[in-house]
Amino acid sequence: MTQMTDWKLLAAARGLAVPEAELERICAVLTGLETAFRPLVKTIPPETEPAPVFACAPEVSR
Amino acid sequence: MTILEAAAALRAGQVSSLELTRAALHRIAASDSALRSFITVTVESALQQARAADQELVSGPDRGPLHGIPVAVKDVFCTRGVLTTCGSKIFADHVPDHDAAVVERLRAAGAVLAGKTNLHELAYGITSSNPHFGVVRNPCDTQRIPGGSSGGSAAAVAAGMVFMAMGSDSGGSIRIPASFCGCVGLKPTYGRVSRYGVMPLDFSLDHMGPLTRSVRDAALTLQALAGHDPRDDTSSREPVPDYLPPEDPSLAGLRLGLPENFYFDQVQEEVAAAVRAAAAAAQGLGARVSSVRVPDIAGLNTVARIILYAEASAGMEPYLERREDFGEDVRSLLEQGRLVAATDYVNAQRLRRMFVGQFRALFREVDALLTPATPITAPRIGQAEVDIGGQSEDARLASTRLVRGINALGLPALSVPCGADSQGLPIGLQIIGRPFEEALILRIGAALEAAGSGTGPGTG
Repeated sequence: MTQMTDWKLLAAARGLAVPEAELERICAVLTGLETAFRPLVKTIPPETEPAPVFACAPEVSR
Repeated sequence: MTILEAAAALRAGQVSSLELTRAALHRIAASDSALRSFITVTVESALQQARAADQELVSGPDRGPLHGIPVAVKDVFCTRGVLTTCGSKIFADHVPDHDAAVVERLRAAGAVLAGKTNLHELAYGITSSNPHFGVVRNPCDTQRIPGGSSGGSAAAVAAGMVFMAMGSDSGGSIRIPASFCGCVGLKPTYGRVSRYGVMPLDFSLDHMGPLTRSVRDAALTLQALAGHDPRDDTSSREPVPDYLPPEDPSLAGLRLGLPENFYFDQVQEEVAAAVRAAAAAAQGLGARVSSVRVPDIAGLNTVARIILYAEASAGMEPYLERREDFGEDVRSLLEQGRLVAATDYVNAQRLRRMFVGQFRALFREVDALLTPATPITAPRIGQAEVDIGGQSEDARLASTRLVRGINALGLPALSVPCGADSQGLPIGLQIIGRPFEEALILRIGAALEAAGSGTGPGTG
C-alpha cells in the first residue's frame, strides 16, 4: 500500500502559516486528490515524457 | 439583437455605433448596480471609439462585423491606460502600459470597448462572488450565481449590456457561466487565441474566448481573434479557416458521440433530458449520433487539478505572503498548490500526454462529443453544496466536473443553451471537438440553435 502524505507535517516544513481550521480543509482536499492520483501514476509507462510546455497538435490522420 | 443583426443595421443606416454604445452604457448604468458585472466602465473612450467607428463606416475602411459594436473584456486582459485588476486586491491599482493581443485585435476589428468585467478573484473559482469588487448576480435570477470565473462577462451579455464579452477558461471559466446564464461560450483550442497580455492563472491551461448571444457571433469573434502571435510561445501557426457557420443547418454525414459513461452519471434529470433532446435534434438534422465510451474523465480531472494548483500557486508565489489580501477560498486554493510535490506535477504532465492519446483515438470514431456543460443549473449565491439526485456534492467540484478535463487536453469546446429547467434556469450543452476544429463545433452549435434547441440569453 502506498504511503500517503502527512499534509500537516509538510505544511509545517514548508513554513505555511495557516490557521488550524483552514489547514484541516486544505489537508482534506489534498488527501482526496492524492487518493485519486496515486493509482493513476502507477499506470504511466516509464518512457512517457511530460508535456511541460504544452502544444496542442492538430489531427494529422482522420 | 445579435452582432450580425447590429452589423447589418449599422450598414443599412438604421442605427449608429454611437447609438448602440450609448444604449449599452445606459443599460450598464441602469442595471449594473444590481448585477455588479463590471469593474470599470470606460464611458468617455467608448463614446470616442464609437464616433470614430461611425466616421469610418462612412469613409472607410469597413473593419468587418465587429466594427462599431460595443463589447467588454474580462478584467484579466491588459488594457493600456485602463485599470486591470484580475479581480484581486493585489492588482487593485494595476494600470498596464500595453494592450493584450486580444484587445489589440478587437480594436483592429473596430469593436468599441465599453469596459472591463468582474470575475471570480484571480479567475480562480466558479461563483464570481468577488470579495473586493462585489458579488456578480445571474440576470436570469439575481439570487443565483452567474458561474465563473468569467461571471461578469456572462452576466453582461445575458443582460444585454454588451453584444460580446471576452472570458478566460482554465477549468471551465467560460463554459460554466455560459451554461448558468444562457449564453454561448467558446473555449478555443489551446494556442488558437494569443495569451499575450492576459494575466495568467495557469500557464498551460489558460484559454481565451468569447461569450455571446448567438453561436454565429462567437464564430465571427473568433475570426477576429485567431492567428499566430510571436509574443506568446504557445501560440499556434495553424492556418485560420472561415469560422462562420453556413446558413444551411444540415449536419448530414457528421458522427456525434454521446458518452455512455461519466458525463450523465450524476447529472440533474432535467439537464440530462435537455442534452439528450439536443442530441436527438442533431440526429434530426442528419447527424449520426452514437453512444461512445470516453476515457477516465475523473482521472483526467484529477490530473488537471494538480496542474492547476501547482501552476496557479507558482505564478502567485511572490504575493502569497499578503494572506489577508486574498479572499478565503482563493487563499486556500493557493496554499494547497504550494504543497503539491514537484514529482506529482511532472507525473500529472505525463498523464496529460497519455490522456491526449486516448482522446485522439476516440476522435477517430466520432467528429465531436455532446455532453452537458454543467450537471446542474445555477446554484444560489452562497450555496456550498448542491443536491443531484439525492446526493450532495460540493458546488465548485460539481460545476467544474464536466468541463475541467478538457482544458488539460487543449481541445475546443462550446457551451450552447439547450433549454431551461422547471425554474426557468438555462441549461448548457457542451460540444467538444478535435484540436483546431472550432469551425465544426460552431457549425453543430449553430445548427442546433437554428433548430430552436436553446432558449437564448436569460433576460434578453
